[in-house]
Amino acid sequence: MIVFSAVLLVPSLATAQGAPEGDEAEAVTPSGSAPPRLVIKGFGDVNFRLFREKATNDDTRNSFFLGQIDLFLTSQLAERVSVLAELVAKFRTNNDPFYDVDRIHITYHLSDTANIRLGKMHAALGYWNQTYHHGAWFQTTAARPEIYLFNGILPIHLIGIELYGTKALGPVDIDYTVSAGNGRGKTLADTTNVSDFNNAKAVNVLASIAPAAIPGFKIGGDLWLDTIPPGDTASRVDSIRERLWGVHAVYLNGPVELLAEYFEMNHVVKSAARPSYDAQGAYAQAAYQIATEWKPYYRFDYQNVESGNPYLTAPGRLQRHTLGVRWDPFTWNGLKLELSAGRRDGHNERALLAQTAFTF
Amino acid sequence: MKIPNRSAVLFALLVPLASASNAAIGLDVAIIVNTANPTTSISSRELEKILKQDKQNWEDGKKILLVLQETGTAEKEVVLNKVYKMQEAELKKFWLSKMFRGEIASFPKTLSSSGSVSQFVGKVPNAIGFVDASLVSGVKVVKVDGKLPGEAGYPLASK
Repeated sequence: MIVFSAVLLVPSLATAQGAPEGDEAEAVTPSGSAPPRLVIKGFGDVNFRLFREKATNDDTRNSFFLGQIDLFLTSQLAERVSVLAELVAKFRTNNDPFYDVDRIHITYHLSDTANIRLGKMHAALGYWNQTYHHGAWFQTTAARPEIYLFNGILPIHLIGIELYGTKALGPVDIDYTVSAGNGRGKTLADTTNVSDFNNAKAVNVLASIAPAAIPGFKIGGDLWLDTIPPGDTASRVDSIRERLWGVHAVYLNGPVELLAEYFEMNHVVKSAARPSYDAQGAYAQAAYQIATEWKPYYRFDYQNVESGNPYLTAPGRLQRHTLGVRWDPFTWNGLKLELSAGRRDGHNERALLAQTAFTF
Repeated sequence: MKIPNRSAVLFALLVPLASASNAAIGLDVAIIVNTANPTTSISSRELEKILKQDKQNWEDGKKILLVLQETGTAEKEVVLNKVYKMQEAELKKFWLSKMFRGEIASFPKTLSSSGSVSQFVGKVPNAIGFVDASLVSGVKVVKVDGKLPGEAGYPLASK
């Protein structure tokens, strides 16, 4: 809360929303010795969810609900050094407020092929996690894919160091990210912001290829290795070796939006018996923009967590279809309405979700 | 005071509109860099990467400083159609998305006219911009796909 207050008290350092236009005064004196300029953006969303059937008993009442209030800050410290921070306020299902520093990192832009980033960042997994993450306004759909839910099965944040870049090799562009960091905590809800629970660091490698012959198409894969520390319960006395790999394919060209991601993970408990548990998760999404303001969409979500997994204790098997439409009445606001229907652990789920997502 | 007849009013209104329209239709947009920049030619694929800030460094390692033109200029319209293949609102979303991904720290610098862009690029060694080819002054025009503005097949011609 103190952080939010401090930010709001320095409006003179902030810039207005939108592209800076008519910036003639700066035209002939670019980046001198002036102090860094702070750019502030905000993202938010307000929703209404109507349940018809739900597999679990929690949070089943039809409700208006606030999404996340996301203050997004960037600053160029020097020609090749920039800082990005993201401060998120949200509410738990019991209405308690929750504040979090979702991201804070400094990036050294050495070249197009090598950049170094240090701090708390979105883990370089697949496509969705780094492209949308917070800020529902960015994503076409109202709800996130099941595999990318907060406290879902994937490790969506990393506190550590990242090396990334892009290189054109003949007819293809290759992007890569190599990262190392604190990795998972004792439970899915833990984020190891200031203290890891073990000495082992998570290591992640992501690579993707974009052929010039197919504009808008990108395909890639990633591998994440970590050791999950023991927990505080009797069922979690041993460390768990985590191995996670994924593939993704994306086609974004004009009105067409096609996204698909698949992840496979394996957990081996480091006990004498070394029990092993597998989990899979995937989604495929298609959308088509009509007349610039309208975008109907469809997504299929799939998740399968082997029962008995001492770390992924959430319900195991899910299949869900989501059909919706997004309408952008103007640039910075998206109105979305979607129907979802599926089965979770043998129980039907049906819901209607309406959302207005905006940036300010 | 004598009131002009309807034909005269229509003529007075339509002539400037027609002139502006012709200017837009016949416009060649030049890609310009500082005269100290060794770059003389780039491919249209490289140009797209630079204008989208996917490529942020010159071949000699210096940081590229991209300068755009404001919404509504004829030059901006040509670049939106030929390079970005987006409308202005989509481009603003595009820049905000790049900021969110940490690829850029702010929206690119934007100036109001070809004259302002030429002046800026003329004074900043690592800058690149686009201007009306007929208004180039004090900067170097870069070939795109081996062609200069006015040559047949030039990729940034509005015709």
